Amino acid sequence: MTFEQKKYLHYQLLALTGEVDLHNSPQVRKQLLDIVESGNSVIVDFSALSYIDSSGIATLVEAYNLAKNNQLSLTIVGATGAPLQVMELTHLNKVFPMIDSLDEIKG
Amino acid sequence: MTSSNKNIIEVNNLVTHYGDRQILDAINFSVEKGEIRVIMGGSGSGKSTLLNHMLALLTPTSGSIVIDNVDVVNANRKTLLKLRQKMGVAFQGGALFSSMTVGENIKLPLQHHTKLDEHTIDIMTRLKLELMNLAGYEDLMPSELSGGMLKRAGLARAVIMDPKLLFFDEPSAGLDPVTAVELDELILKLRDAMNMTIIVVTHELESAFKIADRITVLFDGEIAITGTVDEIKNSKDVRIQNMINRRARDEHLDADEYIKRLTTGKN
Amino acid sequence: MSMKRILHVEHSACTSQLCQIRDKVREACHVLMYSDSDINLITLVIDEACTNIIRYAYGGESGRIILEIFQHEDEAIFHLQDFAKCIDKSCLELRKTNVLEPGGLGLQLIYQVMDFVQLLPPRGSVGNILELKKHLPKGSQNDL
Repeated sequence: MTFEQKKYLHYQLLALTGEVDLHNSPQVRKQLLDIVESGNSVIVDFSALSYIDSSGIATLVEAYNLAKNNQLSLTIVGATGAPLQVMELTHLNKVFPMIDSLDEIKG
Repeated sequence: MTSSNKNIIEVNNLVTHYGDRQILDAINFSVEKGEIRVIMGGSGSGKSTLLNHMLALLTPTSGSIVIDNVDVVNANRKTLLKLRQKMGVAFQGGALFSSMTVGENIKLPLQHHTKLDEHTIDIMTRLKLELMNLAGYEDLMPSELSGGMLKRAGLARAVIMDPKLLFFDEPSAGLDPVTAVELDELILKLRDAMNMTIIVVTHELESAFKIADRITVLFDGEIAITGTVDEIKNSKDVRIQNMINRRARDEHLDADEYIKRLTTGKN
Repeated sequence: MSMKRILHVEHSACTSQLCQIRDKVREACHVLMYSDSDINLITLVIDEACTNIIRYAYGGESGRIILEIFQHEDEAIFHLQDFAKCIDKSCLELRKTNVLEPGGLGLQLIYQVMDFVQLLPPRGSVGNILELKKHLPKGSQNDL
């Protein structure tokens, strides 16, 4: 699993590639919490993500909650396949803002 | 014949077959007057067969079924007919006649089985419509009703003769969660207002937990347990635990509450 | 029709092994002719179960996990065996408030995807076997 972070408009965009599981979700957690704690809204790009487990999901939930409590946002873009199924199974697709492409976010 | 027996239904050692295949195996089952009993079980568990036998639609291989002191298996046609008038049945797809209005549909059993005059029948019909929160809908055609309203109209017809017993098969089938909850509340209201004994066959756990006095769970043609909601929830039977743990979370999801539960573990 | 073993793998209970375990599960599910969607879900819950074993049964200590997948009549049977202290059956119970408790969310997913879940006593004197069963798709019930 690799991730890449860059600025997109006034957001920090975190793109995840590969599979997120218990082995590497702590790294994702650290990265996400750092972003939010620095006062940024974050977009998590799932388009190159092929797998995420409940530890990865828990990380997203934690970051989402932190963001919300600080009037920031966490959005998921490009979820497909297995990750999308997990979001649906846990009903978190009704909680997280989920968009198909970055075009849906204007400045 | 009066009896101080508190059970209105008693099934003893019921064994049934479908051709060579055994469906139910030595079922012992009793329901108290005024009880709401939910019967649950997966497909193939035999719950529909049990229901059909209780309604005397099928003849068992052996065992006895006594409903309101009538030995259903051996009763003659006349006795069974009298018993059936005390039993209301609301089946899935128990459709209303599409060419009659809601009111005309509901009146039908009264017109068929009683000599009551038309005014009385009209008032009884309207009373049932009120009970089902369908007041004012009597002149509509079935095609003009929503799914939930159709169920309620079917239920009104099932109870128009003020039966002692009501059998309800899969009440929430085809209904959205909100309407299903309304129907649950109606079932409770019916029992309280009309002192009915109600047998509900369902696979919806939330519904069962809400309305049941006791739940009977069938697996593979046998009764695994008959117990109160708490007894079911605390059962050590691994099949019951699986049944409980597998329920889909259909309830209306409040995003904020869900996140709170996930992050703090508190409700 | 007897039990047919489709897979037997042993791994150390390390998070770095999860990826390999998932790949093997995907392969086995493919052989059993599950749909892509089911393959994803089954892989997820086996991963969740292994995660729970690593985190809670072994508590991060080293150990072994044995995964076996069988085909029996119209079901696929998954056995996950560990050699940690025997856990109580109550650990498999889901209560609304324990979603956050050890493995809670993962456990919920397991119940949603599988048809049957139970804890079996170990073959030896130590450990646990988590048994998961799921109906096979139609058509894969003939001998493979």
